[in-house]
Amino acid sequence: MKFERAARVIFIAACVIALPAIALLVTGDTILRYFFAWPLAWSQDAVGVALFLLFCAGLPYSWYGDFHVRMDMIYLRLPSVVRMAVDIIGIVAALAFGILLAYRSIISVADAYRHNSWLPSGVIPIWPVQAIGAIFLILFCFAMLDSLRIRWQRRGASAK
Amino acid sequence: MTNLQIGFSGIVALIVLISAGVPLAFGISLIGIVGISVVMGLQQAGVQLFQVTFITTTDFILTSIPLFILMGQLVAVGQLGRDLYNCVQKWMGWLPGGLAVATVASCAALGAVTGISVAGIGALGPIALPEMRRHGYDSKLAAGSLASASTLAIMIPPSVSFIVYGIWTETSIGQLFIAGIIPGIIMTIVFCAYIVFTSIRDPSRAPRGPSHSLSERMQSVVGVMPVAVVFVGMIGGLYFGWFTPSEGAAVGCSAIALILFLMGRLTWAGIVESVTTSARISIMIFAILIAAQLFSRFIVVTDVQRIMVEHVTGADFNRYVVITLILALYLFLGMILDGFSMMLLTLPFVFPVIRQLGFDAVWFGIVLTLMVEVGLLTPPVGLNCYMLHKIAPEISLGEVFQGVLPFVFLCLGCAALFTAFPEIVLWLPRRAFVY
Repeated sequence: MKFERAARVIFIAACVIALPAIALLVTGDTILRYFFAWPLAWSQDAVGVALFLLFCAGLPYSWYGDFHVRMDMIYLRLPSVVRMAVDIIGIVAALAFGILLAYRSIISVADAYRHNSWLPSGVIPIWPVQAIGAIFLILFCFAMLDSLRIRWQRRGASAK
Repeated sequence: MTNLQIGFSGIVALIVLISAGVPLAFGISLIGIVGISVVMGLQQAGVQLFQVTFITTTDFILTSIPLFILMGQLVAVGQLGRDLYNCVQKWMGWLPGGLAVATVASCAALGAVTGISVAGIGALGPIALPEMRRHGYDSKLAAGSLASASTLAIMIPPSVSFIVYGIWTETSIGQLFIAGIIPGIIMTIVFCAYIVFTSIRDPSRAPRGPSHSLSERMQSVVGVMPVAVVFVGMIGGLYFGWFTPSEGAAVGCSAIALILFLMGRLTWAGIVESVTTSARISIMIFAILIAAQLFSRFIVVTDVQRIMVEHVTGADFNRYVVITLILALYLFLGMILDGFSMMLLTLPFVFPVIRQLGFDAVWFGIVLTLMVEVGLLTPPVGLNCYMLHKIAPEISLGEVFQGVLPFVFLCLGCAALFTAFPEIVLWLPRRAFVY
């Protein structure tokens, strides 16, 4: 429950900061470009970073918050044991997605740091962005493990 | 096991997982990861997954998805939908079935500032449904008109569906936006004409509403000016090439927020609700987009895509037979899948066939979006029908589905019309863009 609450706080904070920032930054850049011929060279990179971090920060809460669509026509008619098995497959699938992505992110952070990689505008270094993303992706993996634990406990409770 | 067999096994496994109810994004990504791992190794699967995720989520053009959704959410929380309905109802309420006509026209107008269909139900449902019921409207007609008209939001630009299609197929999103205008207007007129015709035939289903004086009508126009100005500015900017869809979305968002602030309707709670709802929908779309791209790469490396496309295009079928079969497939898939998943899962196979047969990519984007609209209405999934039932539980789900049925046939009629006369769709974008 505590983990879910923490994931929710991260999600709301990311939304409240990232989305208005993206809207204002792109608006500002558009106005500067068309009215003053003075575009912000780094704005598209910054927007991309904000969007990437918003996605990664939202992932841990996405499972608890039931963001992801599923085809529930058959699912709702399944016996509870089979439905639980489907839920566990879903969690394992999400875990595979999260673990692989987090693992690659960590490797990419090291690569980007070693090669001193920057985003195209040359203003934003890549490694800190990917490092923050990797932290959120690790949190997503923990969220999935937490969901798996909750599911397992429910299974135990229903067996009793 | 050959790569081709692995590819087809992956497709079968995907169908099983999705049908069982595994969340789409993770079911699709699991098949993509396992499939690429089997063919190219786990290391390569990880590289592909990370590349797809990083490229997708940092793509500037994709910024338009959360921003257009945010714009619609701001319009909804700022009660601009109420002003819009109030105005349209004053101008059109006197018609036979006037309140239902006003609901359709308001949904179409609201669609001009939001990219998703459920925003229409959320914003107008609590206003239009009680009003229609108070005037003794048949609940099937009331529910059917609102649920169906709210799908117009994904046809009338800006549309998240067009953005996803455009990115996936590398078709100009600006052209798709401009191409959606005439079909959107035609569908609005067709829906309104059906309501008027039904009301004339059986006035008890939808009595005429009260008539309003010219001064009352003119006063109501003031309330819709913000939405009108934002839409005209945004679409005008796209038409004349002043800005890209992402820039248009950001400017539109900021303009709506500024208008709401000046009107004293921008509250902290409203902002939080708008941004969290927009992010929730965007994360869902992004996750499916990432998973579908990974799955698409798996399909390409196993050669399944090439074989299937060659089989379809190699057979000596008339191209209109093929397109009819494809639309029938979408009609079926729309009954069981949500629009984005349906689009993203089928496009790797369908789009090359469409291009091989010589159909226009922009035209197909419009027709496909129309089929997504139909999918939002058809049972058993029909998302809009469930949404409507949620906000008006006194109208049974059966009544809602019966109410939307005539509109589903009207949508299919429009799909046939646009297929027979593609110029209806392509005339405006050809005038705006040289292609």
